[in-house]
Amino acid sequence: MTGSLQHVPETAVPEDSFIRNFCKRAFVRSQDEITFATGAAQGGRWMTGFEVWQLFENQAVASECLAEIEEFGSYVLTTNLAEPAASIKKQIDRLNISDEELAEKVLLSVEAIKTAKDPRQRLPIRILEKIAQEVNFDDRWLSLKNWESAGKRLNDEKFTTRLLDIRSSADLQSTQADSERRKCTLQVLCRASWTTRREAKLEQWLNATTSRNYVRELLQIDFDSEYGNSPEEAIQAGYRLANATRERLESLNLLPQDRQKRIAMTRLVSRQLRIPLILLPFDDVNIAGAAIVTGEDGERGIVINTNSANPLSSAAAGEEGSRSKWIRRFTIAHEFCHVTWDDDVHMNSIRNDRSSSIDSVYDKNELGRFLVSKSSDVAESDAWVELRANAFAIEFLAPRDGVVKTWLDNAEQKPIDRLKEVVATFGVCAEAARNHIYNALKEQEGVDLERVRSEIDATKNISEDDIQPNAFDEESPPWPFKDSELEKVPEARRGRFAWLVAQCYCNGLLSADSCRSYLGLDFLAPESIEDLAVSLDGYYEMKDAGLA
Amino acid sequence: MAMNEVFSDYRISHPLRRPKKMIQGREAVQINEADGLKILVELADTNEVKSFWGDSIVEDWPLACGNNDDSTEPEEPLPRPEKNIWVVRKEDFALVLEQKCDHNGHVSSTIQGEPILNEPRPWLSHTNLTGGEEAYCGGEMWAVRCVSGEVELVLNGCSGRYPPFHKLLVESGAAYHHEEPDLLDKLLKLYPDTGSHELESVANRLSMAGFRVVYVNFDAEKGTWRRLIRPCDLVRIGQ
Repeated sequence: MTGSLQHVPETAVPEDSFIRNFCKRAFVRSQDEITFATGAAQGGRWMTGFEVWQLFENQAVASECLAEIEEFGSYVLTTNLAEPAASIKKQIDRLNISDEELAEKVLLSVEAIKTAKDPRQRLPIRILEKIAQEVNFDDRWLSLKNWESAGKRLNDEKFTTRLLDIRSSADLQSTQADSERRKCTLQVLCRASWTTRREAKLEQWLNATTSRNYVRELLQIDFDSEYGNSPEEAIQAGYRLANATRERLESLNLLPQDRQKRIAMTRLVSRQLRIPLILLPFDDVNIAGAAIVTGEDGERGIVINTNSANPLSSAAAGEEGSRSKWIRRFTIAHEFCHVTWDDDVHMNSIRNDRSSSIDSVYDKNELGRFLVSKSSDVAESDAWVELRANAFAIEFLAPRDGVVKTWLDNAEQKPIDRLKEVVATFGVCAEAARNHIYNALKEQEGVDLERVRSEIDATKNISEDDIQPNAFDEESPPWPFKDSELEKVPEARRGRFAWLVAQCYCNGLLSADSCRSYLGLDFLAPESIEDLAVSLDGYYEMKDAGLA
Repeated sequence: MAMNEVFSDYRISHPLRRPKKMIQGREAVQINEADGLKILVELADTNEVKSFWGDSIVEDWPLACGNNDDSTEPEEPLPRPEKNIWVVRKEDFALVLEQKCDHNGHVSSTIQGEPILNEPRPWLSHTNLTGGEEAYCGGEMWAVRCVSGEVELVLNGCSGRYPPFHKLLVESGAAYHHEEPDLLDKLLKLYPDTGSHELESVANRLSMAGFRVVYVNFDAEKGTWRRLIRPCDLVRIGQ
């Protein structure tokens, strides 16, 4: 199944006999050197020729590598002998993570962390990779000759800087516990950033796309910097963008024309639009999710807090109740707006959305009036960005014309049943539905708003549990690997990321060893990677996604 | 102790081996003293050291003992012009500069007096030290100057023809099957074929013969000998 180099876009492997032959070789690397793979006794990192070619992307360097291995037995990757220790040390220091904390996170000894920062020492490449991945350091460039001159980013300084901004912004008023939570948040975002960068790279290799541009190329849109000068204007801007997005998706048959159908958000964002969508638990339950820009090409991704406290839910933080799923859908839609429409200036590397901020679209003192709930780390200038994304999210999930139709079509029913119908149809929570129904009807001619208000108010006496449907159509397939080594794949690396890894393996782009590293596993049989590809194929395959 | 004496038990416990890899051109033609062949013997004083190594001593290598005790800098591959290749033969320890150059930088190495310039690989091979015959292990070696003025031998096991055997292979009793080459070949397939173990044995014996010796650890991750050397890769015998 491996080594075929079939179905690989020419952008990844050009139709050149030297490059094609190079890509069919197998290599093994250690910290500083690389050689041909010859036998099982080589305990280093096995790589396909394609992976090594991606490091060089230069025929002269690749030729030099082959000649040096033939003559001397190996090719020395580094010319900067302080590396990789210097870069690793710098990144760990910048993130202000202690050796002990990092060791605990990556399940290594403190001694191993100290060794990684010492240029006199060396470590097995697998250990270096683990450390690098944890601190958002592109492990592919570890020690690599000329990575700097080639314009590669070993660590994403802009991303790191923004992380530190977030952390320091609350230090003056926060408690020690807050500070610790924020430190954990940085580490989670580092992990999310690594996954985003790598998923974008896999996507590029396999499908000749980059996540930064794919959505905008597909939808033929550009960033939109119109946020308005008032809450109302920001909300109208969000509505406009939601409708523009829907129209383009409908014209591409990625969404049904029928605006009374629920959108499968995970499927749309991750599978059809190929935006990295990462699920990770943050220690800070107030964070709903984040949109991030990272990597050498400014790859964009969405991270969702699986440990989020749902402000509208009685469920405990992290509890996977149906309402949490409604909120997660809203968060995905909200972050989808950021990664699709906000330019780099407004993205500012990370848009770290607190549950209270996301909740702002529902937070009101009278029906139909949106207020912005500013958390301590949302600056004044950011308020319209957030409000626009909230308005986008509700309009995208529940277009006003569809909501109006659903409400009016069921006029003979009791208000509570009509509300339930809106909730079930669009997959939004009851509180959001109430507001949105009122806002949508407000714009209709000949509607008795006083009556609408009283009808909606009448539903407030009913508990949320009676309104939210318990049944929830799964948008994404559950991880189908119980009692196997694949069960240990971290949640952040499941879904499309795992499918891309497996597909790259089956197409001869990634070695089994690289798959293990990417999937965060120490052991994984090649057959299991093939199982992974087959099991997830039906869900993620291109033609099934309507994009063949 | 005399070189032959210190290597006597080594020659019992380690197997003779036929050269691995295909031999091209004149790679299996035995070189002689006029071609630069040297037999390593115990060197009594600085004059003998100077006479033996001539101009091939590496000066100022930071990782030589005492040269840079506080160094945090790792070192690049040792220089090629001063690189010797060595083999423990049935009776002695042979070495030669892998590629000798004249003052103009042109390759001047010879095999039986004939220049090697037109060979497929214009440098000498370990099989030129043995005439293609069976031998024990081989590798590369540099003589480097320490701050104290003494010469330290830095060696690795980088030989495609006579690689130092892995510990498991030595312990498998391979030495006792050297008259059964096919059996040895079978053992080679069963065990990792190279590692630091046999090199350490050689280094220990050189030390017993009075040399300051450092060997470079084998890189088990990629299954070849290290070229880029960091301080942690050096094993100093007896220190």
